[in-house]
Amino acid sequence: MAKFGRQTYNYAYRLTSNEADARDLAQDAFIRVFRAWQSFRPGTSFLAWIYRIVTNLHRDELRRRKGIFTQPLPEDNQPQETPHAVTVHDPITAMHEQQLSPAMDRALRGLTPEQRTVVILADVEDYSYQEIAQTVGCSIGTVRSRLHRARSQLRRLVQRERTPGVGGGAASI
Amino acid sequence: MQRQTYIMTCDLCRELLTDYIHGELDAARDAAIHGHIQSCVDCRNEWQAEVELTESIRSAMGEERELPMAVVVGVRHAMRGQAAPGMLEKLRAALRPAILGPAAAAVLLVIGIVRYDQAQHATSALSSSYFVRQHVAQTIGSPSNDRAWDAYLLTSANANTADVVSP
Repeated sequence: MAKFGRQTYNYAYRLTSNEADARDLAQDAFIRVFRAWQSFRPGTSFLAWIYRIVTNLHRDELRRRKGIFTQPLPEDNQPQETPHAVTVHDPITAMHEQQLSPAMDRALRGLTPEQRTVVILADVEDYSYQEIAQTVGCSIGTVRSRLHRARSQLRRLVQRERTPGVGGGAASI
Repeated sequence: MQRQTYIMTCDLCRELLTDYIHGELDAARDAAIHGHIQSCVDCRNEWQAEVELTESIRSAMGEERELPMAVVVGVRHAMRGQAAPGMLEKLRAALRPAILGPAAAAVLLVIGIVRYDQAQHATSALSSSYFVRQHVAQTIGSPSNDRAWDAYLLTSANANTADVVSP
């Protein structure tokens, strides 16, 4: 847990986009890891095995929540920015948004969970298609098509946000 | 070994750009795209846009966070709490029908074997006693069989001969 805890939590955070869900997901994943460590095959990547567990748990949780609208509570107890509502220019806010890449963040939230998982593994974790296929539990062809569609969609969404008056969001990625 | 060469078109190049920037192409196609984007401005712009997209994704999601202590505490708590019910879990698992069925069958089989064995012994004891008594009853008073009676008295000089009347 000391070795893989941070990476696992970061992966969970990227999948869920909020701290509370990421905590729950990482915790459930580690409990599962401790209970099922005997099923780990030596010689394979331990982190990839944990990622697979996290991915499966996340998918199960999304299926369970299907139809239930959830809005994560603000972590800092501050009013949250609502989409398409940033109209007043504030240098501090602008700098903050520039750091968090809100346009891209929104675009990533617009992806399906499957597409998002593939994008995270391919572009952030630098996994090969083969490794992604093993982690997600699908074929390499499916990984390829999901990644292509996701990236096309991201480009469209970011382009739309960049275009003034269309997305209404901040013009920075 | 002859190296395969590709005639790279703009359409094919754009279709393969994602795989190209993720390093998922074989050497021949990788080289063909590399050569194409050097000479085609439009495809080079497309490639540049793909690279920027990857960088944007990384900057949006690449932020590293520390593992919250709440996760560590939660996992420890869950694993500690698991220690006591672990035995119950094992017992429950052992009593599952899949295991209980064959186990019950095995127990019944053992009981059956033991009872059969006991019954066999009881029958043989009864029958030997019965036949000896019958034999004695039939030969009482017969001088030619006194030797058999004496032998019987010698071997069964205990309580089970109390009901036999001596000649």
